[in-house]
Amino acid sequence: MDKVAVYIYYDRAIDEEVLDVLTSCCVENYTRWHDVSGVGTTGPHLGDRVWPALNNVMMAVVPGDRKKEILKRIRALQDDFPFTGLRAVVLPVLDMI
Amino acid sequence: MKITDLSVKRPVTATVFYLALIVLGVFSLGRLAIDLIPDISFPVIVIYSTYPGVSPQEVEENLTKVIENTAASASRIEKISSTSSEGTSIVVVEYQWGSDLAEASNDLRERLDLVRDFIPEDASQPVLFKFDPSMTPVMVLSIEGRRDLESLRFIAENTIKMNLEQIDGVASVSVEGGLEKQIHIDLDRTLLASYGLSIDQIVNVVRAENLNVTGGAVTEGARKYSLRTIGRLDDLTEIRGIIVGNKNGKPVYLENVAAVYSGYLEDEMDVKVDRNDAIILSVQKQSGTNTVLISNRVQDRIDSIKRSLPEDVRLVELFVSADFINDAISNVWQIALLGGFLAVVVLLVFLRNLPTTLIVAVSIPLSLIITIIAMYFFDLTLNMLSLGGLALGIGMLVDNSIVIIENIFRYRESGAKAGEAARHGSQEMANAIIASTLTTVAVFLPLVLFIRGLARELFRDLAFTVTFSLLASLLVALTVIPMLSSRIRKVAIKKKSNTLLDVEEELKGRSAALRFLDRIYGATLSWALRHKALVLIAIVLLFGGSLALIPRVGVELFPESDEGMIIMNIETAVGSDIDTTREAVAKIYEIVEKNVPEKKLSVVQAGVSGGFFSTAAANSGSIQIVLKDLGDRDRTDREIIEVLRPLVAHVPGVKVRFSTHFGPGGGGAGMSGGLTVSVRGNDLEEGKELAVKIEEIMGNVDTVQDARVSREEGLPEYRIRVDRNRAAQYGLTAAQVGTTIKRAFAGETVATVLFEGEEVDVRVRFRPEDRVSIRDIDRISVASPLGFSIPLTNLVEVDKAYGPVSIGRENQQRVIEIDAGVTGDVRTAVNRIKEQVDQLAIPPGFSIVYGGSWEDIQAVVKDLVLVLVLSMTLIYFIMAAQFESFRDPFIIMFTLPMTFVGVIWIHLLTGTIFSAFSGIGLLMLVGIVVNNGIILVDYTNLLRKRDYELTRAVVAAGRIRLRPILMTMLTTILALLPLAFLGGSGSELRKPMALTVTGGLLVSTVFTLILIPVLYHLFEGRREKRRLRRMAERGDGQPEILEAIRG
Repeated sequence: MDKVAVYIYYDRAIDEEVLDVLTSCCVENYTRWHDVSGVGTTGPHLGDRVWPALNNVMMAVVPGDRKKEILKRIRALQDDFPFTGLRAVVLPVLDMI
Repeated sequence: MKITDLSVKRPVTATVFYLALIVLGVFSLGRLAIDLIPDISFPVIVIYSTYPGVSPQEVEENLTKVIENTAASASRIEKISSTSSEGTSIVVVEYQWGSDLAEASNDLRERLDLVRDFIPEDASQPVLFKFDPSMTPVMVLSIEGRRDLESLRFIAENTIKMNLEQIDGVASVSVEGGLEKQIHIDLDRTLLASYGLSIDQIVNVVRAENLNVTGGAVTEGARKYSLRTIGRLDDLTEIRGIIVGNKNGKPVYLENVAAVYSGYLEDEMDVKVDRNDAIILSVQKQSGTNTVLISNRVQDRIDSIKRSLPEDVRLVELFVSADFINDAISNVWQIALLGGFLAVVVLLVFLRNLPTTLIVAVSIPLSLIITIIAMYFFDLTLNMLSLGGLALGIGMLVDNSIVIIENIFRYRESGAKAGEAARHGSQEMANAIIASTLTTVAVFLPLVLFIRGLARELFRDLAFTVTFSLLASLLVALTVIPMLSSRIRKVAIKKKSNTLLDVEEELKGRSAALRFLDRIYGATLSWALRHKALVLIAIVLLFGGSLALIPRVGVELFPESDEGMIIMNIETAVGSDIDTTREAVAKIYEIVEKNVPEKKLSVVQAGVSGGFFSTAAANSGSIQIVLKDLGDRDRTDREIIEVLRPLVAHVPGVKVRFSTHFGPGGGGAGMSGGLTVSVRGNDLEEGKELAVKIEEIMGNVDTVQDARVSREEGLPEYRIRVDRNRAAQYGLTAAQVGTTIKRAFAGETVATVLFEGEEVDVRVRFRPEDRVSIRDIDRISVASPLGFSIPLTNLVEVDKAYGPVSIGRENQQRVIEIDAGVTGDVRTAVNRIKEQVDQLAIPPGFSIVYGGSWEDIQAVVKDLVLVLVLSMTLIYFIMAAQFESFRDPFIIMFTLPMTFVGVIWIHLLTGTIFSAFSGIGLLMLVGIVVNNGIILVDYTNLLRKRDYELTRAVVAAGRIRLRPILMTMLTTILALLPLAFLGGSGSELRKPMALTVTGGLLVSTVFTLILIPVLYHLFEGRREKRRLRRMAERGDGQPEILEAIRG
């Protein structure tokens, strides 16, 4: 089965909720980047006095069949926090050592 | 912030840390010394010396001037003043603030030793005391018992006084009243002459007969015996049997020429407690020591003395200054706690959430405890100012916590988990609260660093406690608040919106009352932005009009406080005998008994003994009335005085001066609150004339009471001039002649003998019938070294005259002081006196100086203005660094004029006079009010950077910041209300401070909410226009922008 990399960009305020999504989807291995800045559709997240919000980024490499479940749960989380930045991107993994 | 992270991640560690602080705080609180105000007595050393029987002028010339000149060469001297009166010289050396008195007194002693040869032989060795004679005694005691006054006096002198004077910190204990035993040798002038003896010979013989002399030792066998000649007299028979001469080969015994008997010291005074004879002991503390501490030590010693006293003798504490202090301090504690409670109520109303309110409220006790620990380690006392500082700042202790918790909950409401929200929410606001705390405490920096004087000494404790408590509240806000917030599990998440940045949504989420306020404020602000010029003109007019009202506010150094004591100093005509004074005092006492039902007890004194720091004066007396506690009476001490004043004015031939404290001038808390006009110049006559004219002028000013010239002329005297040439022919000097006269009339203590178990002085003089009139002078013979006696009539001339009772000097120049008490505004009183004094013809060489509390007011005002200017500059710099802008802090500084408006109006409306305490309130305000401006401008800048259009940004920032601004203002003001309006011991001192902050903060907040946005809009609008114009000039402007510039 092909593997995919799921990148989740989200407001750091909902860090625990995102981690819960991965746990509930039995994803045990992940990489997380804390306090990442950027500008998205929910406004700038620059970590300065003007725009104090910041994002975290979570990347997990999972088997392709888990992708749907993860995205479904992320979408549910988006419904819970409609104005909080939360995006997921899925990329194919071409190779892995 | 690492400490925030640590306290959130390790709550147990944080809890244990604060529990340890609480234990340490309770321990420190028990050990903090208590005082009414910080010790602001000048570092003073008093040099006291006696020169018996010598006139004031001679004491001044030969003794006082020598001591003054010597003292003047010492370093760090602020002022030297002196009083030379008959037989006594008192030089008061005032040092600069912060001088080490122990070092200074050693230095002075060494300098005085060097000039010992220049001090007249008959003068005593100068004695140095570290205390100010005008200071309130820490305790006044009376001794009562079913015994004669003689044995009571003995117990007072030998058991109590000696015991109390050993206490560390007690400067002196004076005993007044009762009878002191003395052995009299009353010489018969005629018999002396018939035996060819003179009084000088008798004095020398008795002195020589009363000596124990050691004479070495002899060794007999293996034993060594020391030799001692026993000459000490110890009973009357021995004294009577002294051989004083020879007549026709037969010895002449003392009893042949004198009556020798035991009696009492002729002391022209008596003391009563109410109507009973009493003996009074006044305990003075050393300068710079703690009143309550010394009072407690005295109290402990009194308890042990009481146990050792005979059963029928009672020692009663008439006045304990520590009682008032303890009352006043516990009163401030209660008021501070009530203020804290009110601040918490405000929080509950605004936050509408009990757990959140309690978390914020925790910062009050914790900050107080940390402050107490800091006070203990910095050796501060619990006094009206240090505690007043805590009470003033108690409402501000929650400000930092409010900011932090509000931000934490914004995170929580947007869905963040507890720990995450606590850490991020605190970190985001850390810089802002650090900056605003710094601007608040920065105002005190110049006060502590650059000022040396009364203002610094007085307000240093307040500055320390306000600084400590605010820094402590900062620490609590960055540690305890995030830690406790992270423990709250349930928070309603606002799913509909990310309220972190959504202004409109945030405003919608507020309570109905706040939304109502918001609508009114929003509309007013929008109107003001459209009519900027009108708003600015109105505010300038208000400011100008308020400034014009300043002269109506009045100024005084310290507000009068009711300490439950009235002192009436009574004087009959100069030269009156003790019986006349006794009669006058009794009449006045009757008036007091009839009209002062509030009297707890009174000490009535007729005549003043010639003891420590006072010249014997039979024409003086006093009534000290101790009033019931404040709660048990309806009239204040001032009101009672105003009832008594006209009544005692009807007693003929008597002058009565009122004060509410011991010492000259009365005034606040042992400090001189009176006005002193000094006439400086050398000529005694001219000076006196001028002083009397000024006294009259002062007496005509209605707010000035009890004007009195310090140098009372007119003590009737006979001036005896020695014909030096003729005296020299007989081998005599003027001093020898003077000594003989003094021995004959005043007498001389020639020995101290152990009589009936006590040390008793032996005094030689002429018997009373030989010293009746001035003619008796002529009949005195003086022994010539040439071997015969010469009648004084051959050597002296006598004139009748009136001489000064005492001569005052200040900074080595003669000065006559006219002291008076001032009710209310001192400045107006001084101006009215000045106006009239300026019209007087001042003789050449004379100058007039206005001193007393007026001098202190000027010094304090000068210092406070300097501190205000420096503080404002410092605040500007801090804000400039914070905003990285010179313009924004400039806009914020406009909150200050509005503060002054509030301060002026609150003084006018409440009838409060501007005092040094109002001044310190104003200083604190400068640091507080800019915080509102900072919050507003900072948030407006933030919105501008988020691309809000100028007007929208200004209005939105005002509306969003309305809640925290109102919240911090109301917590501060409500916490101050009890301080400003509740009575109780010492309330007069703290009221002006609390009123100043309340008025200033209220008015400045209201106007800040309008003025700052208007100014911001004005400055920012112009800048934007310039920017657009530059864009247009470069040719990259849009047509609508160009239109906007032209519009």
